[in-house]
Amino acid sequence: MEVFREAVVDEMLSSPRSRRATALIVTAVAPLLAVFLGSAWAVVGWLAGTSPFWPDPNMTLSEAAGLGNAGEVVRLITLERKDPNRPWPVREGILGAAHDATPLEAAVTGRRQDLIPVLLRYGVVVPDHGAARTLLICRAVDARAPDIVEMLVNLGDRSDPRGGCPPQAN
Amino acid sequence: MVKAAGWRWSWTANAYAVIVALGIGYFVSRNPLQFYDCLGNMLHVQSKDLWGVLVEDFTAKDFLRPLLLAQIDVTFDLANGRYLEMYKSIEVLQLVATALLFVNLLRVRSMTEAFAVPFGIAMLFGSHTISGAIHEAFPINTYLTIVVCCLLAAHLSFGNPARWRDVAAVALFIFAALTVESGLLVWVIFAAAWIVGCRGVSTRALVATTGALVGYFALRFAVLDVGVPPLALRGSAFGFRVLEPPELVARFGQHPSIFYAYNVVSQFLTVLVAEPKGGVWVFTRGVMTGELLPRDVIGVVSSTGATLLIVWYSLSRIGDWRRRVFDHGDRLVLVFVAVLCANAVIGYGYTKDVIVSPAGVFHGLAASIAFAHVLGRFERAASTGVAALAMASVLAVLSAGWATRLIALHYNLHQKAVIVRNDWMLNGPQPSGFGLEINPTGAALARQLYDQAVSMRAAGTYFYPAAGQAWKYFEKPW
Repeated sequence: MEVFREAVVDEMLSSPRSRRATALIVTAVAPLLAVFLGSAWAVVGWLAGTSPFWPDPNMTLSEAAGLGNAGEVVRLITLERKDPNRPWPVREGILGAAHDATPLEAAVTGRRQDLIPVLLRYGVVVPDHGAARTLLICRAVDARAPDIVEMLVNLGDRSDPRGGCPPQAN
Repeated sequence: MVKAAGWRWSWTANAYAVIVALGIGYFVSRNPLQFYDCLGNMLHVQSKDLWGVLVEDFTAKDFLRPLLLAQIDVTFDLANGRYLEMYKSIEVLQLVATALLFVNLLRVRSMTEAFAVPFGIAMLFGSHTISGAIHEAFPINTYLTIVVCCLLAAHLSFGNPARWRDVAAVALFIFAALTVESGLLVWVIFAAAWIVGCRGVSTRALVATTGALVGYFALRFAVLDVGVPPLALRGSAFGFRVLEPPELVARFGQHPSIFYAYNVVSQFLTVLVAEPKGGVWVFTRGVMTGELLPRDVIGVVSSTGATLLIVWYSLSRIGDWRRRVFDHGDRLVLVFVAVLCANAVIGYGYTKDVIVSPAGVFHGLAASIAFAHVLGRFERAASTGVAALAMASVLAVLSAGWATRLIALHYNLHQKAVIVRNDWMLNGPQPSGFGLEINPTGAALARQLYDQAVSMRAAGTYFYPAAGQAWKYFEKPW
């Protein structure tokens, strides 16, 4: 049976009709063969010690915070010793237009409430009072993040500066 | 006797399967060990010896899974501190074993059969029923263990009779049944394969395994009084949303059979048509609300298309089946039907796609047989005209659907790495609720896993090309 089958296949592969049949068969699975190339590339890259399909965009601390990537935030602070209290560039698209922001500001703008305790654990300082605190809370108001507003209002001098936020923020 | 060319196609198919499995393994290896489901189990086995773990699990209520934690205990000790390496290696081995066992059940001996393998492998790893088995580790991926056991059971049944197969069959059943409840499917595979004429596992061994099955129920209900999980144990889906335990009790406390019947039907349908998912009628809801996502369509169309292929194949073979003439492919299709029915029934307690992962795998096997059957028609056709071209185009669309689902698995594994790292970071290096304050060795273990999670970089899918649109096409397993 197998001998017969292979004789048929061998014969078919060499005739024009068999080439058409083969073309149909390849057409039927073409999308899967394309994906296979990706798998093969991943395996080769893995063996070669590179990182195929695992983007390494050199995120800044503030970009990681804005995207809610707590793992990268902690890695950048603890392993790469990045200062969590200074502004870092944020690329366009992550939090709107490209700009500089502190990790805390980025977390607030990105409405990443879960991340704020992580930032506090790793040395981020929330302004106790004054214009910096007002600005941060207004940023949370602007981001329409009431839970973060609540959290920030309960930190520092516990005053509620929302009345002083710019009109567009309300 | 198989000629050299036949073996060449078989080797090609095996190599294809291994490469795809390793490709997934690469993504798995870049995921930290989970926080949820892993840390608790690891702390548990750290604080007890194997005997203690076994005694505790044999006397537990609701679930009889003594070998689940026993496997974790043994591998935990063997890891000798290299837990990430141990558990990631186990999962990669499970993936490769699954792929090889799957492909070898197809008995590829020709070019046509080899070309059906990409379709089968995409169904194997792209299905929503198995993605949970790949994502969810305890830290051993127990549902993947059961998938491997089920495929091994099929190999034992479909092979040539031998004494060692009989011994292995009984041992495999006991191992699988005491690992997790869906391990009982191993017996279903032995029985179904025997009914359709496979004698790799002898009648005597089937009787012995049946005795072990009876023994399992006696042990569970009469000796140990383990019982079954109560209705209120966890939330479960009904209709268009997940109901919390109090809601389940309020709605079905008097008539739980309605809820259980719903679960069985849901598990049955989700394998065949990818709807409902996790018991929730996502596609139907999308149609009704006009919020249908491409991923919902891709899931339903590709699963339904695969099922229609199986139906078409079955209809084309029904004449022989009536005369009780079955070839290898027929037997696989019929065993799939048995596994599907039994798997749906075993999942009566609550709906979770991963429970039907064995049925999903056999769905893939049956569909691969049917797919190869269609490709064979192309070979044998007197002409390759418009009808054949149309059929090839339909198959290409189906392949594209499954290709998308296979890519989605990789995409989600990257996203899962971000989620797992976040779980660790949000809970901190000394998470509460585990008694780590009074357990220095446990605290050291948690710290080690936390530090590993910190160091394993994962930028997230935001940085993939077309990330803004990709999520619409890739179904999520969580």
